[in-house]
Amino acid sequence: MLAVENLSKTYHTVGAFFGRDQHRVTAVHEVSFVIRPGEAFGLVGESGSGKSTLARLIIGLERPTRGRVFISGTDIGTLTQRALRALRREVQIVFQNPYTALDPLMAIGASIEEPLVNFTSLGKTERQRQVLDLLHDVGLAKRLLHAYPYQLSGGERQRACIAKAIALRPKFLVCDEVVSSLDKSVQVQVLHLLKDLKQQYGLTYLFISHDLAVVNYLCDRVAVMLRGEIVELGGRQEVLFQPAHPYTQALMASTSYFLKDTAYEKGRT
Amino acid sequence: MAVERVLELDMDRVPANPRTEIVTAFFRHRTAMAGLFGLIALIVLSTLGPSVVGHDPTATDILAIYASPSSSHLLGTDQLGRDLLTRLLYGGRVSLLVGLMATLMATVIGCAYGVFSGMAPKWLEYPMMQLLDALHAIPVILLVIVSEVFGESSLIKMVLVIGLASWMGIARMARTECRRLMEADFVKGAIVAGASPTRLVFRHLLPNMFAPLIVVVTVGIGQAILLESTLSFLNLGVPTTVPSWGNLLGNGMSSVLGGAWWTVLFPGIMIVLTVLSMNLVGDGLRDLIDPKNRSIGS
Amino acid sequence: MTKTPLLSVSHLKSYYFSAQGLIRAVDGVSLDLYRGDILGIVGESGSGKSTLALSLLGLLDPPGRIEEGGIQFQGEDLPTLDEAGWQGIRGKKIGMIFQSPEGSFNPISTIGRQISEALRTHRSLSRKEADKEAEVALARVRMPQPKEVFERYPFELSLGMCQRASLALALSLNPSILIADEPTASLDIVSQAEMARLFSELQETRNLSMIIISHDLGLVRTIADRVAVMHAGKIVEEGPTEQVLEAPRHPYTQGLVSSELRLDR
Repeated sequence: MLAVENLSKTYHTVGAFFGRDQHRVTAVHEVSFVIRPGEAFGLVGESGSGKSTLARLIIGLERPTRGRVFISGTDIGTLTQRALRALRREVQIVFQNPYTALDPLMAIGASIEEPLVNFTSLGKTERQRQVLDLLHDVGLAKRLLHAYPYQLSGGERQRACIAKAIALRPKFLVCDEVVSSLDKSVQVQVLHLLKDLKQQYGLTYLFISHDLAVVNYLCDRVAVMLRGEIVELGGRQEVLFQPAHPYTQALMASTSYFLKDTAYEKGRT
Repeated sequence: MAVERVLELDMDRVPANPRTEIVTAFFRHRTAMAGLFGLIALIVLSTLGPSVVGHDPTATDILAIYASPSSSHLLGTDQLGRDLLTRLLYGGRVSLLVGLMATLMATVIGCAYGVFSGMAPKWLEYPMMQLLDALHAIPVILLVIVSEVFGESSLIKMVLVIGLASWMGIARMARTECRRLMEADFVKGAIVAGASPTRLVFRHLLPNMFAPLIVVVTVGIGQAILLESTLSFLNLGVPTTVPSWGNLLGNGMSSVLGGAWWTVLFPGIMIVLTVLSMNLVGDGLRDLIDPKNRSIGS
Repeated sequence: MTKTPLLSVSHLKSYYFSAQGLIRAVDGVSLDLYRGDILGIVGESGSGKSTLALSLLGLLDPPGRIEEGGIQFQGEDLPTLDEAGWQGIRGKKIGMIFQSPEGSFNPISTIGRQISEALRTHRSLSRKEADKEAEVALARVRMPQPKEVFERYPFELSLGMCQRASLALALSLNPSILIADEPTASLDIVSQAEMARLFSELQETRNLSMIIISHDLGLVRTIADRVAVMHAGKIVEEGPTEQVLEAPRHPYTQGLVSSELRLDR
């Protein structure tokens, strides 16, 4: 489904006059992994570990400094803008902050409809019908069709973002910290929705999160990222409950400390 | 935080468009309303006024040279006995028209340049910004002198000169806004949702730039009117045969020494009132779109 | 229980008078904090818990204000105090830390200097003595290399370190109560765990009483002795942590607890 090969991204902070390079920051360094069709692949790391950069590289919003990204066997680095745009029918993203992810001046319905307008030749009535279906699928009331983003709660907005992302029935969905700005009780609802949609739409997920409990809930395989590099990768059980890398161990120890949870301790012995 | 929650619960009311909310808020803003009222008055006076007053702005009357304000000439007459009130109202047409058209032109050029450079790749963006800085450094007077080469002064030429002299500020603002928006998730989301560059610009970028833009444009119209007056006063502006506020001022300068104070006072008042109204409206809009004062947007 | 509370909130109502109408952010809250206890207040965004924190510190700005109710502390009813009265309490007797630690510091001065300045404004110390005490304050919050950190600017520290430093600042004047509003929400999970351990340690070693306001059940479960669950401006359930979080009686608490993600299911 998706393969990432030696992917690196270096940012230059540019000096004032004709861009003499001052600093380089390596956000992603030599990252390789494969995501299989139908799986939920978790990417764990703290803020600043390069996970969001990785997400943007994968959906082609940014170009890598080195390395390649393959989606369904196609190297997206070789694609023209037009071909890349066509590929977007299959690869969509949901962002972390639902408060900035919807155009504040567009009604919810219009936002969800946007990909249909851009990619399909459907008539207005058919698009409206599909938007209503999508609203239903993500558990939003019909009357929110004409509401504006600022009138919705965080959870509702995130549902709208998800509806927009699945409007074209993509195969692959990148979820970049989609629940971290939501209340805990809303988090579970949204995660539950994502789990359902995975079944219903046959989705493959790249699920990025800093929260191990969230990743544990949804993902089949997990990669742990630290300062731009993947330090551990494997099945959910092994990585979370028998972590080999000290960083993963520290993350798990801290997470289970708060949960007074014995699952991790059991795995350790 | 608590405020937001209560609003969220209040979902049964009819969803309001965020733009309508700004408009409603604008009508509650006192100084902005004063400015708007002043502007409407000026526009009405200068469009309908001349036909009501009943004098011809070019009709000379040698028997009434430098007549002081009286019942037949409310604001007095000038050195050729032309009715000042009539000329002032006609001048309003010219000055407002030049200000509006020039700013419109500056807005179109500025937005196009700003949005283009804001969306352009880095290697193109920097030269474009440096070119903008260079253009900003050209004095208006130089532009005017160069324009003299292209024939007689005319209203259209005045609009072109002022427009060309004032689009850089708008371009700079448009570019900053554009770059800010390009970083926003909803614009990235639109790109991922397959929006073409045209759709991106017209559906997402420009509408979201509208609020800050309208402030700059409003204040810009005032500035353009000032510039027109200055240039006309120096005889570099609209043809001296056409009454504009600047021309009237220029005319009056020699007369005021002879005691005809009204020839300078009234055009001066008109210019001050117009620019003041524009600035009040602009300030009001600025208050309303200040993120600290609004509940909408990000 | 025969203990008398150190701080006692009774029927507190804090309202916002906004253009959209009256908002009852805190709507009749009663709470007792006992000496040496950690009281956790949990609630989701919009429950009014932050408004409660601001009310307890006299930091509620218009259009918000305390409408009714009392806050008894050391024989004084805090809502009746004027700003000068609050100055004697806030920081000195009731310390505070907030979600974003950068907010506690002036970005253009060093951490050590700021703690030492705070000490000198409240006590007559020489600069040298104050600097020394600031260093001790930093060491007390288990700051690694306190001497190093003393010379650092806030932006040079990680968020976790910075929150530690703001705790050092808050504790430098020996307050008897610490109020922490979402103290771990902006931190990474490892720093969160370190912070939680630090709270427990401070409670033991210094007999510090704390009110920890958080959306995070995990944090509250780990360190609090008692828990109050806040919803829509009201306390819906209050009691010993174990009882409230393991066997919640109120449906809202039950919902909160059941929506918590755990590693073992």
